[in-house]
Amino acid sequence: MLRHFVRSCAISLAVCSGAAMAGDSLPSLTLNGFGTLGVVHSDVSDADFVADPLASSGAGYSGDWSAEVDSRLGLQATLAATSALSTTVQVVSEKRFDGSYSPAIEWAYLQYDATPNLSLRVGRVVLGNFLNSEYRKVSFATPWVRPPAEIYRLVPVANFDGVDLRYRYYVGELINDLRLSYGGGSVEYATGDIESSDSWGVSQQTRWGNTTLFASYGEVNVSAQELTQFFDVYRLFGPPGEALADRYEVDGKPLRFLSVGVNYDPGQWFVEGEWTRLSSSTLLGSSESTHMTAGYRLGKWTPYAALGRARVTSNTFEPGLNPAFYPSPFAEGAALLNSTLNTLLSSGLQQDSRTVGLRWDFRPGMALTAQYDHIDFRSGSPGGLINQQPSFQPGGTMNLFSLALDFVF
Amino acid sequence: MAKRLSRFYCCALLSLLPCTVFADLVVVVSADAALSRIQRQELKDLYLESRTPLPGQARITPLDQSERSRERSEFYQRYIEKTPAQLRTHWARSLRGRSVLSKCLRRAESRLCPRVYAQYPTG
Repeated sequence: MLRHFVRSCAISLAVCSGAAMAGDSLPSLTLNGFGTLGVVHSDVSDADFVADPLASSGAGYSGDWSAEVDSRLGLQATLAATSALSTTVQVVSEKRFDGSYSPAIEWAYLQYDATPNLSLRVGRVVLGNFLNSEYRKVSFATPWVRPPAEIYRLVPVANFDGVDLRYRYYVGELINDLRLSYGGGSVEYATGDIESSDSWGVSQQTRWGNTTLFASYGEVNVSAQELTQFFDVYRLFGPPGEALADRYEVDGKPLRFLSVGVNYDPGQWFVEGEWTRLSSSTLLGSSESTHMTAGYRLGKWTPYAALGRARVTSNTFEPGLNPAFYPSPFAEGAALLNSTLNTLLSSGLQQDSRTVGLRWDFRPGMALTAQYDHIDFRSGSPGGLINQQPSFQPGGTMNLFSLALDFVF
Repeated sequence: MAKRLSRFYCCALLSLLPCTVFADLVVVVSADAALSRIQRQELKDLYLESRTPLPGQARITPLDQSERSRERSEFYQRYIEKTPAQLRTHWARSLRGRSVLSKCLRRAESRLCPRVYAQYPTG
């Protein structure tokens, strides 16, 4: 019988004296990586489809097929100095606002595990607003080629600079992870940058067997110099202009995110759903998004289907200043301001999407996914497309064909 | 590795064998081990959450076989109740790639297992 053990030696646990083992194996360095090599085709040729709204170009206008939308490489190193203290750095190279693929520091934090269940991280840490936020850049870890736009585009960044506290607690068979975070950050785009500060969030994830439940709430304070200047011009138009600026100003008002999600994965198939509400009394308005995905596993093949829906629940039109009250050239200025304000108000994501895809896990750590999306832009929404040409008409439909090779190591 | 383990007073080594010949799970424990039994839930916590059944008393390193091995998949399906696809997602989501485990096990297969097991009497 022993000989049989030795031969099969399938799984073994090594139980060692803690101090001795710790002294022997630390400090330890762990290296991991992930990436996606993807191409996407969009049938809307007078605007660009992008996964990251801050990228400079995508598929459609800039190219019939684009490898820029989903391709990415990430490398991560964790150095454990002691059993309680470690540091992690993650560098990601992907299409940026300036058109380059310059690697950026995605994570860089120091982690202190006060107990095996309580840890504190300080530095640049992953954001956790939504069910799949913590691994949204690791495409291999999700069924799709890219996270559902209806929800994940609401927060286009995946990290923040600050602190977070994670507490794991067990209740019977329930594994609970409670997370509190506080911080801010800065993100650049083509013509400026968006600053965020004094933002906080709380999230709770509970796993029970094959079921995962997620809920989070967060308040984010953002400001962008371009927007501040825009409202400063409004204020020059007397009390009506000041009232409009106060109504739509983004600086100094919180954006509130509420999200609940559920995932059920008994192995043979899986289903996942998420609902998110963004509320703010700003130009960015309020919106509600839902998403559902179901998939079935046939050996190495996983066909899946998904539905998404995003709606702006606040006003998308504002009469604005009445140009008749102002002499020229202020009347023309007022009309121009109104038109810009309405373009911004109507740019929120309003769409219904239908997705089908097939994932092939052809070898450990590698998968090939083909995905088709049909997106119906509602209520004249431009659907988050960038580089819109004069011929582009908001409110239409878009078909996307994507092929992605995902890997982790 | 075997040498290092004995040098550091490795107090126990368990083997959980989803043996096809003997359908039962067999656990081999050293006389020095504080851990004399393990519950199904504790085994799941250990393999999926790196949670030790005896916190503070012993550090447990779970070892694994390669993802392609039939034994591993049987072990996970029968005792951890996770399919290969569920495991793949689990590890990718915790950003440990194909898991810290698989490294241990390649070493385990080649050196640790035969030599350490050889120290235990048959039975």
